[in-house]
Amino acid sequence: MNTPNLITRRSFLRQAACAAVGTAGLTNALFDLRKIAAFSLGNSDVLSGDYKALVCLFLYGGNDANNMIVPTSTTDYNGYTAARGGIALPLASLLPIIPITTDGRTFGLNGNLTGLKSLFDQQKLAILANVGSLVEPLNGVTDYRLSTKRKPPQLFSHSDQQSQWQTSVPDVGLGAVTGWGGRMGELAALRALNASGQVSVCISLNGNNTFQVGDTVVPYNVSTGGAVGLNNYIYPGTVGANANDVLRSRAIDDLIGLSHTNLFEKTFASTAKRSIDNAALLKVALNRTDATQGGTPLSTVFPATGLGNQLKMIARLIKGRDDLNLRRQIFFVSVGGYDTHTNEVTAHNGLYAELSGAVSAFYAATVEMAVQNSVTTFTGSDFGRTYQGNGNGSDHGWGSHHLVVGGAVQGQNIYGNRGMPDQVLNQTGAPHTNPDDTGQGRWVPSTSVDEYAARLALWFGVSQTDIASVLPNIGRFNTNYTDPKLAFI
Amino acid sequence: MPSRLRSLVSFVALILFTAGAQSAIGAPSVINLSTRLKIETGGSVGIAGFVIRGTGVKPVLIRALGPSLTASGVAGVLNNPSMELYDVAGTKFGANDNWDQTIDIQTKHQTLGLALPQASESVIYAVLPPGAYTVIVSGVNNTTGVAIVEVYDMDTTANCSLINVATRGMVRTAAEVMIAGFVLRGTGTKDIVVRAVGPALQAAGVPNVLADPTIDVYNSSGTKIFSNDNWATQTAPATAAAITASGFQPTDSRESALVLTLGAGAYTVIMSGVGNSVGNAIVEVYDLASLATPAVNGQVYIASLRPVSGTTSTGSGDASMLVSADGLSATVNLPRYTGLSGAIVGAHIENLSGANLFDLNPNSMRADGTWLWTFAFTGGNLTAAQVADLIRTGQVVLRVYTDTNPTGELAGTFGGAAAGSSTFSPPAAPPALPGGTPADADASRFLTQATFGPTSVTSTTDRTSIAYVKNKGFSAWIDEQFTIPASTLLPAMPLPFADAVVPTQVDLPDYRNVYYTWWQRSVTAPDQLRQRVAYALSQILVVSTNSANLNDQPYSLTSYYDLLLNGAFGNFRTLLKDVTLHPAMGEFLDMLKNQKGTPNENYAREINQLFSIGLYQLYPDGTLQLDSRGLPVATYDQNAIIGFSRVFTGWSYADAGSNFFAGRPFAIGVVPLGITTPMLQFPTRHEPGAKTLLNGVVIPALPTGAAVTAASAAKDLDDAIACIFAHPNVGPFLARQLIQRLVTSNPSPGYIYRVSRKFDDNGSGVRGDLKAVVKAILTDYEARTTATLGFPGTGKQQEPVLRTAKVLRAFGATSVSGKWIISGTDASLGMTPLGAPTVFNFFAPDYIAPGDLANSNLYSPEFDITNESTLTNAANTLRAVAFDGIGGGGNDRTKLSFNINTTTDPWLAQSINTTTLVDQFNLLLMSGQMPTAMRDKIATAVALTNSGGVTTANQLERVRTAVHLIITSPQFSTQR
Repeated sequence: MNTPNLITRRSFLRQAACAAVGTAGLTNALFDLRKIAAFSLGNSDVLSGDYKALVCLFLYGGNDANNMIVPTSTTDYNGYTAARGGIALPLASLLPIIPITTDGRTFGLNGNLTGLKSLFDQQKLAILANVGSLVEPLNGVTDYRLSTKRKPPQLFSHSDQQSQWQTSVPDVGLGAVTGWGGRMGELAALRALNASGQVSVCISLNGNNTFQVGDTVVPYNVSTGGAVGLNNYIYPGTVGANANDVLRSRAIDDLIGLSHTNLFEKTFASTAKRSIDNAALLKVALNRTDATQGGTPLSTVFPATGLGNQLKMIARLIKGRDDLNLRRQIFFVSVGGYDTHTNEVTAHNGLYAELSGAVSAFYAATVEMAVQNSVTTFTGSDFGRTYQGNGNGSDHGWGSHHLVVGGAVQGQNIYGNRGMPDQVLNQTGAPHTNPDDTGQGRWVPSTSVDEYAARLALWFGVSQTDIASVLPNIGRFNTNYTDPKLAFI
Repeated sequence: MPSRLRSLVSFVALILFTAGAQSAIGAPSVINLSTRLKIETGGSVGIAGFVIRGTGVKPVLIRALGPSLTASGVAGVLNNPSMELYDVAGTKFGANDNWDQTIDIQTKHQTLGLALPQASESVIYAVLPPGAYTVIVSGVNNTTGVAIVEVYDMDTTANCSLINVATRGMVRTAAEVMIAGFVLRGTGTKDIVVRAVGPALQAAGVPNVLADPTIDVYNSSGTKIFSNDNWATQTAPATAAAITASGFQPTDSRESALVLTLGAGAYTVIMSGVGNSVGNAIVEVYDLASLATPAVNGQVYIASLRPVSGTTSTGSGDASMLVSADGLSATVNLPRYTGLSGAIVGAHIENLSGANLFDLNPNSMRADGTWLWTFAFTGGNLTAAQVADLIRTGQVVLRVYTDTNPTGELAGTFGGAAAGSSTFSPPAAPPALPGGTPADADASRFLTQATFGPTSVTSTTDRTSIAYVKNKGFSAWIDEQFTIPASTLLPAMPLPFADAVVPTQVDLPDYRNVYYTWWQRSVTAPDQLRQRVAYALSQILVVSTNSANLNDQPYSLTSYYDLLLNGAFGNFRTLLKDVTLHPAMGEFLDMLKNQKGTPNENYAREINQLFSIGLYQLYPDGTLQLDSRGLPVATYDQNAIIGFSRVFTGWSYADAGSNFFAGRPFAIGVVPLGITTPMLQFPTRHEPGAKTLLNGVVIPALPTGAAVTAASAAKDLDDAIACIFAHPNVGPFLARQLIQRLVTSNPSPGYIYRVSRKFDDNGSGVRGDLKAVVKAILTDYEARTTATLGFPGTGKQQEPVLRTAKVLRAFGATSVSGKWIISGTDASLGMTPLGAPTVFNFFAPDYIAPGDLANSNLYSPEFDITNESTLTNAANTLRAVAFDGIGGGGNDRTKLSFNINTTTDPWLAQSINTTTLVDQFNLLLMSGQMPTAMRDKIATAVALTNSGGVTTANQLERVRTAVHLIITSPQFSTQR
């Protein structure tokens, strides 16, 4: 029956032609563990030659990058302390960085970012200045004030700006339910690469997110301890198990497998089934780095922090990538607590130490696995924060600075269509000299999330023709993919 | 359109021009539009259309002539033409066979200078409002022949114009070509577009189209003045560019068009096929001047889709249509439809009588998910101008068909351009509920919505038993619950105590006591409705232990929760103010110690976005108001956030004394005052300047020299709360979220409307009465009807905390020690009561899970925290509850009754009869909604468990099997 579900049709249309691609991540009813083991052995390292992973590191709450990268030249620093007041960092606490190309201004990283400074100096970390969600390019405040220029709806709202960042279609606003990670993962070219894949191209280490949702791609959630197994669940074919556990396991299968008219029930059932099926697969992959299962643990030591544990699990999954038969993977990790309305400096001491320690350990692990050129980590966040301090914190802003880390990154530099914004506030009643300040230091982004995402997507293997499928608005922005201003990778 | 497919007559035709050239002022008017053509049968019938545009009404005289043509030398005329006049909605405006030979019609002919028709011919005189009309001519008794259709404008001074005529029919050769005529009167010149279309008709489903039409235009003396074959090749009298500029360029290069500048006179257009080819075609004449200021161009039209009258549906949806600037096409979008009773099988744009104008066919959907509707030839015979007028006058409807409602489940009329935005009409009232004593299943379902779960099937004294609710009735049960005092949390908190090593130092009890107390109260307190509503409110007016300021504050959080318990049945305005001034909220969203200058905006933003009105202007049914561009309208801007942030300055701990920045003092054995009582105002810290609030409300600056006082600062706060409370969004905003917490993730607009009305006025003129709101939610049709239980989108996921509490209540959980040492449940249940990650709660009200739920546009908040990891962790936790219990160890462990008292627990005895056991559990845990197949699977598994014989151990294991399988199932996890 030709049932015209218009929404799935819409989904279908959005994909590139994809007739003969595999079943990446969606159907993996492989219960036979012995078969999986044999398969993985037979394919050991076959895929390693062509592997790439993107790791989206989302800083929930709106990272105040104005205290992550701080101006150090005298005039700028004086403007900085005047604007920030109680949250201005002492000059001596900063870690000076020397970009390869510079406009003469000097900057330092937050003193907690020692590991990231080292990566910057090794040219493995690039800074992308003043990035944010945009509907169309805005030439600073001048354009921002024009009613004819479209701005993302509900600027400065957490939920909306997170969604806009992760979907990169801020103009759709209420209707956007897919993210650019998910849309990238379901491109025909990528699906073909992952055709034998056993789990979703998108794996999240910290819960559900929009970034990884595609029209057909559903992200798979893994905990920092790996796949969560169903207790006392006995896979079919297992010998010698408790009889009650076996019959209850088969009854669980039966209840999940009943037809479900109600869609809440059906979604719950399909998630349960995916969990049961994938847990077995993931265990095989993770056994490679589990000494108790005969594997060889990574020698890189990760900090025992929330982010450290998330990135460690990603490193272990990358190590076991051949078992999952995936040649392209998109990971999502996140840290909350960046909504620093108060106690910002103290909060940053913990947050940035966690960030720096975990990201530098993760980079070291990719070096250990010799995949450092195949794995790129990049930050995202709701929005930046006001340059103007509110006493001991800062409020919701817009454009912000982001970090990209990996062997493929053209590091030790600051990128962006217009570079770092002027580090000064426009004052009421005085000439407005800062072209990027909409008021209170809410920067108008000079580089859109689309532009940022497009360069990452190209590196990931998305063709220039497919970019528009991933980023529908990219045509409005800078699509000169050799423009040195954005050549961070 | 009733007659489009009926058989009309065959004929031959000739020219004729009747003209009543009268003097008129200014540019000439088109006073007559006529067409003569060969009408055949089936798809080759002849149909004439015309459009009146403007305001007021237009008198027209319409004639269908056959025998009169004989005088002009036409052979084979239609001897007895009859005629029907329809508007495009299919309403018949008139019909005539043999014309009414009264003085009135004769006078009309004299006015126009026309000869009277013969007796068998037809005439309709009608005074018509602006719109699109169709004339159908047929031969009486299926006779065939040549006929002509004419439309005369009887009043060229009216504010509306006859702007277009179009006729479709079979074009043959020689005398059977198609001929159209029009008359201009007045002085000066007029721009006219004439075009002939054949190939493009094929797309509209017209058979045997004329492949290559050509047109010749003659003046009244019979001289050919202009010709065109392929429109794009022409150079005179106007260029192809002029045709494109007119917007009437044909879509096929073989078709013909001319832009003509003509003076007064009668003109004839003859359409024929190149090389004597034949086929169906359409000839159209447009008055460009009358089209010059169209009302429809570039407008957005919005359709709010609602259930079709007579269907049982909780569905709703939105559609939009952007008419192109040239008025010839529209971009149609159906971004959302939801809550359907079955699978969608089609969506059409229709006229008011249900005729399909445009099919939203999945196969013609464009890559961006929209459709392009090219107006011309809609339905095979409407012109672009006719369609545009239909849309402008609110006569097109989008209708969604489902397999369960094959005649249509949702429909909505496109409107909006007139008012410059979308408009609101109250939803229809729901069907009546059956009334009478509720069934067991209904009572159980009610208790699942109104409490943390039913506790018994049969008890007559237990207020949360199924039998008790049946006996009491829903409404009286709710009223009784309103009277039960709050079982608050703070009194259960251990008091600060002396440090064991340094006796002068005050130690605080563990903050996890918040959770222990929450579980004990929520599962066992008698004020169940209050507890359940307070828990719902705690997910809207969020504070959380997940905060640097609150994670060690058991008193602050429990005191805040008590505020919700006490306020759950009060007034929302009071609650919002109390919440604002509570130190827990002050700590959580940084209002505490916020001061003038550059105040912190955190609370200012979230009280508006999350606690009261949301981001966009709503109608009373919760749907979005849309502006003339079809976009939502923001409720506030940054200026309002700054204004509110100024209001929320100068507040600190009640016991801070004179020190605004004082810490939190504690004393041994005393409930700390500062963190359990409303914050205190420090006037010197309060902003004296002006404060912009919502909807243009501004609190003026204090007069120069005047100092802020505690009273003036308190008034600022009262004014700000009043401003928010008065916003029309509060009712629908709060109604939707409370319904989502208690009943269903996707309340229909009607449900939200009925509840928001109660918020606006409880029936006694009081706004914000939460008792009225709660009662309206729980007694509404949508909460109580069983007719929608089988729909794909009914209900919600029961979040893990609710599932766990329900199991604990159903099986009388207790801990021997009386303590409920259930700590943070983030790892075990994916959420902790009073421990949301942020002020955005555990999950967002607008979250839509990818996959089937997204494909049906169903909100599914609880799935925001449901994934492979959390789902399995919760399943493992619930399995452990069934087999061993939850929380602390030893005597502190909270266990189900059959795990504590294994010998006398009644469930053990029932385990002998497995189906009886499962049926009882079905009623208690699943409101009797367990599918038969599930019941059979579980009964089989129970029977197989420890089937060795009736021992206590075997019975216990069987009960556990049943409970385990039910409470970890997708079916139990869904509340319907």
